[in-house]
Amino acid sequence: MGEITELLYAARGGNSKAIDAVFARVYPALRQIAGARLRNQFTDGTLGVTALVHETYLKLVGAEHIDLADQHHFFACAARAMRQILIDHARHHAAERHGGKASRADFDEAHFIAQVDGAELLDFDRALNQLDEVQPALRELVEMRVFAGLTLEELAAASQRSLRSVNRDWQRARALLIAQMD
Amino acid sequence: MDAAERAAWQEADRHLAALLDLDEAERQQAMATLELPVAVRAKLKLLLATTHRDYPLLDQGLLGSSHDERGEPAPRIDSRIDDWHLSALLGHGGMASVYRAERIGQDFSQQAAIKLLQHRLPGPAEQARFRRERQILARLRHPHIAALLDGGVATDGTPYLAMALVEGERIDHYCDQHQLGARQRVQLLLAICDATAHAHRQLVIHRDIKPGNILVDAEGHAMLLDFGIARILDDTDQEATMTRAFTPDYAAPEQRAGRNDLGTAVDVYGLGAVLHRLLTGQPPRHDAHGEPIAAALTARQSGQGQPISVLRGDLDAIVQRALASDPAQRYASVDALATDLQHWLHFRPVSARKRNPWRRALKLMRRNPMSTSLAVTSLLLALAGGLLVLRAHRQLEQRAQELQQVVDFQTRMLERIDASQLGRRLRRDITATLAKPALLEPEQLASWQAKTDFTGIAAGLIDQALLTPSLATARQDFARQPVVEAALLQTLASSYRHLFQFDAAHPVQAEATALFLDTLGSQDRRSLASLREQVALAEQRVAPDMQQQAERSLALHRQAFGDTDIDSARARLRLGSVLTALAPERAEHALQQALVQLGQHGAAAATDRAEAHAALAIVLAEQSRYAEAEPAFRTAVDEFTATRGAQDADTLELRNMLAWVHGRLGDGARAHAEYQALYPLYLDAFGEYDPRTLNLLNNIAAWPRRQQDWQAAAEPLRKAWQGMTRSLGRDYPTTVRVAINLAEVELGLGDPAKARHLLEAAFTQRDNGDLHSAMPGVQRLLGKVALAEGKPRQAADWLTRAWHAAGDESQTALQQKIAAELAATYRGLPGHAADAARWQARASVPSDSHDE
Repeated sequence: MGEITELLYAARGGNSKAIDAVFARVYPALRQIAGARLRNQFTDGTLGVTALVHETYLKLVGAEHIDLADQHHFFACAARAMRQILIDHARHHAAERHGGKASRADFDEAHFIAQVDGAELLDFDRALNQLDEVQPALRELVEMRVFAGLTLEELAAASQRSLRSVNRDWQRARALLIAQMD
Repeated sequence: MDAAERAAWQEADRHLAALLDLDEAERQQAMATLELPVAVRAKLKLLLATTHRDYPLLDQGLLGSSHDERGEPAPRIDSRIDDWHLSALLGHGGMASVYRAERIGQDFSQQAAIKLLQHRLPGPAEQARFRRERQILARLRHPHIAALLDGGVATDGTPYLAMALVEGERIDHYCDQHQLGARQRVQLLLAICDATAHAHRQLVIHRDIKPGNILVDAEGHAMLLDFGIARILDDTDQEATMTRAFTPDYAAPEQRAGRNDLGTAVDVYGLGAVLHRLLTGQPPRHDAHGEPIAAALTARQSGQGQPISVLRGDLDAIVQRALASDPAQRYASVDALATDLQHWLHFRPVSARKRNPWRRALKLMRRNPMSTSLAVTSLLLALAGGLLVLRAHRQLEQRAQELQQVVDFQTRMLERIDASQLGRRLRRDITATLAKPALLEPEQLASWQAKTDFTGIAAGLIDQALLTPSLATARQDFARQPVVEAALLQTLASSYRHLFQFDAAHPVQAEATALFLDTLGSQDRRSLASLREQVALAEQRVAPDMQQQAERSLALHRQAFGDTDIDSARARLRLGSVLTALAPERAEHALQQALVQLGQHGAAAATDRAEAHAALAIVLAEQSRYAEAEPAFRTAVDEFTATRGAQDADTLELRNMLAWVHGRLGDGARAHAEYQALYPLYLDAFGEYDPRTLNLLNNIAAWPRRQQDWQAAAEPLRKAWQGMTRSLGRDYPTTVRVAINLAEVELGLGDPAKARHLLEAAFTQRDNGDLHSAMPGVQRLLGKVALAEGKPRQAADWLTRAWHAAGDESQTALQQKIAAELAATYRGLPGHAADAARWQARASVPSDSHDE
């Protein structure tokens, strides 16, 4: 059993340390892969979150067979890490425009992951935090869809629920989230 | 989000889950039959309305990710539309994407924001809306409205608009990032009011004024964007299809209700809602009757936004009026709203509040305090004053150098406030006034004087008249100059500390330190000086985390400047000082170390060395290491005298402690002489009735008491006891202790009745924990009083109780003395020879068996 699969297995029981440990491995891996892809090929615009998350999955979990529940945990963590990367980037960018002087090389990959307006992303992040207060499970669903690029079918498979009920949750999450935006 | 709000969303979400499976008609029906609280129903409506709104980030995912991987059209970066080259995506609107673009084929490069309908072919309603927007925008030319440069339909049929490119930030983010004060926020909004009023004069309503549609550029210039759902007043076509394109938090009630007859009042509401967001950090909320909740209340509940004191009153009244649920109750025009905001800015009465002559007078006073007493010229002066204030303001903003001088001056002024001096002055003046026409009998006057806390009154006055307004000014006027603001807040916090108003000082100090650390970082000397002040305050407040604070401060200092730096030594001094009460040995170590380091910095560290010596002396004295404490006290006294002067309160208190240590070391005569020398200085510095002065009198009596020179001890002790009875009360522990000392003296002077009177009163306080240790002495003295009154049996009874009480308090030496006195008493009583012998044995043998 690889390190990450062991951690995922531990996280299954709700062990928050294990979840944090998964996050701590996924976050740099995501950025590293994004950086590598940037160096190795010409990109026309963006790398895309879905491909990046899947590639990270392959790198960390590999061909090992892991449980669906663990897969779900992995993608939840990856989505959270991706959200973190993009939000950090947006914040950094906003700060930089106003005289901050952090090194921008750190965040260059993020710039190519997805093209989205920083202010809008920060709004979205805030709304997500509010959604988390109302229904944390729906927050995770939105994260996995938007930041890990999972389709509703993939989400249904990972959470072992019917497509219909996942779709309904998605509709609820969408409504709650938009209602939190200005 | 508070708990009630969260619960309301959760309930709305539960109902939504049930309604999602129904079609539109069934939903309406189900909604009608549902019994819901108003707040939940409103939220449920919002949730259902979202099904008609696009949100590309959710519906299409992040561009360049799921978007293109799912075969949907890629963003049009690098593509060309007519004369425009699209170079970057700026954002999504409700129905369009906005790109940065450059005009091709011209000598000069023109940049623009191109607004482009996205991917799906738009329906006829949207196309109509788009065309209308183009017509409207073309008519609007205003410095605070993004101008339309061009427009048309691309070769693939996509309509577009090219607008002046505004590079800026959303107004709310901008204000928060720059930590603007309320006045600057209002000024920014006034520009948007002007733009909106201009549009209204062209018969254009914006209908979607919200923070996301107002950008502020690097120069602080605000621009109103996106007349996307505006319409020409007389243009009534196809309204029904557009009613859902607004943003619920900032939409007027009539808009949310789906009414078609929308007027300019919608924009008054939108501007009010944006103002609400800028002032409180939140969009407006409404009570059960649909009326807006006061901004001050929202800000207090959320703990965000501008200070409550700024919001409350006129500004809140303006916001409330702009947000009234009934359009007829709002300002009749955007110009009327702008006029009231201008009035608020210049401290004039606002129309949103009922007129009231008293309020107007108050306003006038605030505008120009000098002119109020001059009735005739007041108006002229007020006008001139207003101009001066304006000019001064501009100069302040432009020249930071001068500003710093002003701040320094204010700082020095505030630092020199001495509440106790002011209190004495107050006392003298009031007493003189009251005594002149003999308003009070001398007795009454004296008792009233003793009971009145003049220093407290003075401190309150200083707080009200000076500190509180300074605090508001610092926050408001210098919000864009955080370092200046922090310096002023720091001064104010120190002023509160010097007035012993620790609870008031605490939040201001925390704010100042945080502001310093945020703006200058933890490597800056000003930041760390502020941090040391914070630790000093924590020590005075006896904050539970004072040790952690002091340790963190020291760590930051060492990190920034190294171990031997003067400020690091100061931080170590603070840690040592904090530890004196918690861990004397560690404190001693830290203070010694601080002294070594401070010793290398010469005169610059003189006051710090004085403080370190004083703290060290106190730590040693508290451990009964008087021989070591004595030289430390002496050094501290010398250093305090040199740095702060002989009259300084701390210098005097240190001299008092030094004398006390001399007494402890067995040199009572020297201590006595020192106490006596201090008395006139105490009278000067603290006044006759200050507890410190009265306490000194008690100390002055200590040596004569030991010498049994009752005559010499009587006068200071009587004075001390009478003064304390009046100013502290008869049952105050210190007063009771002085009473016990006085009783001994009265007994020595041959007045057992007076002594008994004092002692019996003291004995009623035997359950007071602060006085437990004094009770064996009280009972012993009562025994002696009984002997003097010729009641040996009663005496033996008191003395026996005293002996047991002394045992309870582990006062072994006293027990032996009492035992000897008991033996003597029993020898005088016939038939008690055995008792006399038993007590004699206890008196001579220091027996462990009776020690507790």
